[in-house]
Amino acid sequence: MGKTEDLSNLSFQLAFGIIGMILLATFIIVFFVIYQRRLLQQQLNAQQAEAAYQKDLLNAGVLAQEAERERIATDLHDSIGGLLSATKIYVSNITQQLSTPQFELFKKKALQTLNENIGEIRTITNDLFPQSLEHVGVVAASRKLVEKLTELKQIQVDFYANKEQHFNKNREKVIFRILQELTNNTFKHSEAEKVPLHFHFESDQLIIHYSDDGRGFDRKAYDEKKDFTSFGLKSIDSRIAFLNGKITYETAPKQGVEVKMEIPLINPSIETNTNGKPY
Amino acid sequence: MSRELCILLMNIATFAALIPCLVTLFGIKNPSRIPEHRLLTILVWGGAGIGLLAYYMAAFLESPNLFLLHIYTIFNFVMMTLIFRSIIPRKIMYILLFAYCGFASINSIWFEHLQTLNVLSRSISAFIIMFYPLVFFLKTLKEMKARHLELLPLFWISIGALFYNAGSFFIFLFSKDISPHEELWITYFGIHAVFTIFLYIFFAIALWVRPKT
Repeated sequence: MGKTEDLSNLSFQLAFGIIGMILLATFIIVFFVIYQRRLLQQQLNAQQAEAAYQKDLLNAGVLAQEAERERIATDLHDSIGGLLSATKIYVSNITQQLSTPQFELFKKKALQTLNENIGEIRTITNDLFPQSLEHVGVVAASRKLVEKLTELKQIQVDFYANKEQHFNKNREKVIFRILQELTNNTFKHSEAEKVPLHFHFESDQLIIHYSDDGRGFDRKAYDEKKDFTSFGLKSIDSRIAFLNGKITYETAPKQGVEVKMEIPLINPSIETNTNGKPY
Repeated sequence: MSRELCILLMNIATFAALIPCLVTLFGIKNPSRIPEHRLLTILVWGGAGIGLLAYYMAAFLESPNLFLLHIYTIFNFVMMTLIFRSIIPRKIMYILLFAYCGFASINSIWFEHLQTLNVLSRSISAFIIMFYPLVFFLKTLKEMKARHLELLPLFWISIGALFYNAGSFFIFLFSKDISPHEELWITYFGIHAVFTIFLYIFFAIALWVRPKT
């Protein structure tokens, strides 16, 4: 009796152990296969999203370039073209038969339009490549840029920089273009009253905070736009990608925009303000 | 399970080793350069040879053949460790090989003699080999390089090794306890035969598949 019971116990334990181990092995294999498939799908989705994003950035870059060409062409046509035509008319009116007062009048008008021409060319070239950026650096150039908002729209500007620091010229230009895009948006669309712009140089990176208290926008809806009619932020994203930096937006309709950029510095050569104070 | 069925399964299991061997014959003209294939070929031919020799000795010569199990246990452990060498750190692999071979040899010479069942060696071997597929699964999940698992020989070897060793572990562990009870012994070694048949089927699939290059 005892022996049979022992045998039955042994048989039960053995069967229990085998079934348990087989179930465990099955669970591990099924879990592995399902989890691997899921991870693979996630990886694939991430790759597709990255490819789509890269395509978006490329599109934005191309469209931004085209828009910039169009803007330059319009500027040249509307201002320089018109002024040069006027100058031509004045100069062609100057003949030997003219009386002295008439001659003086046309000469004055022609010189006046030539001066206007020079001024316009200066404005356009400054837009294309600000001289201040070349001479005084990105902080001072950006300060001038935002101060235009006060001049043109009476927007209150709060500017701060812990120091001026020159680094790679190309990177400085790209940062300036980003700020130009942001100030343009503020100028054209935001109806803001206050614009803070803060530069903070750290040992290995530059942190820029830009914000306005204007209309803001729905970032999600903007990202989902596929028609590329408004590619301003995408061109900023492509520039940030070029800089190997990071950008974050905090915005919502009627709640203004807060932009934070973290840009790594390459070969920084530190230049402090002459009086040692922050800008 | 009936006694006849169990005996039939045990006989089938002996010859099931020939399935992967046949698969290797298909690759003679165009031999695989995958190390796992080459090592698995050695394992299945070695396993089939030892199995058939054991069958011949028992069925025709009626002489004791348990010493072959001692040899097969060490051979199987060495080959499985080498098959999984791509996922085992080299140092650990050498330690495992030397430690296990040393232990199994000492065990066969002084403790579980050649004409008895080597319960301890087989149980330890099954326990260690069970971890190889787990390490393979973990590494595959970490690396996420494999796009088509079903084309990886190591995937099928892992499934076979995990099922076989997980299922057989308790049979090996309790084999000394069940050996005096003939009916129980035949039943559980009938179950073990099922796992063995599955193992060889998975090995055959592993030898058949070729990963995309």
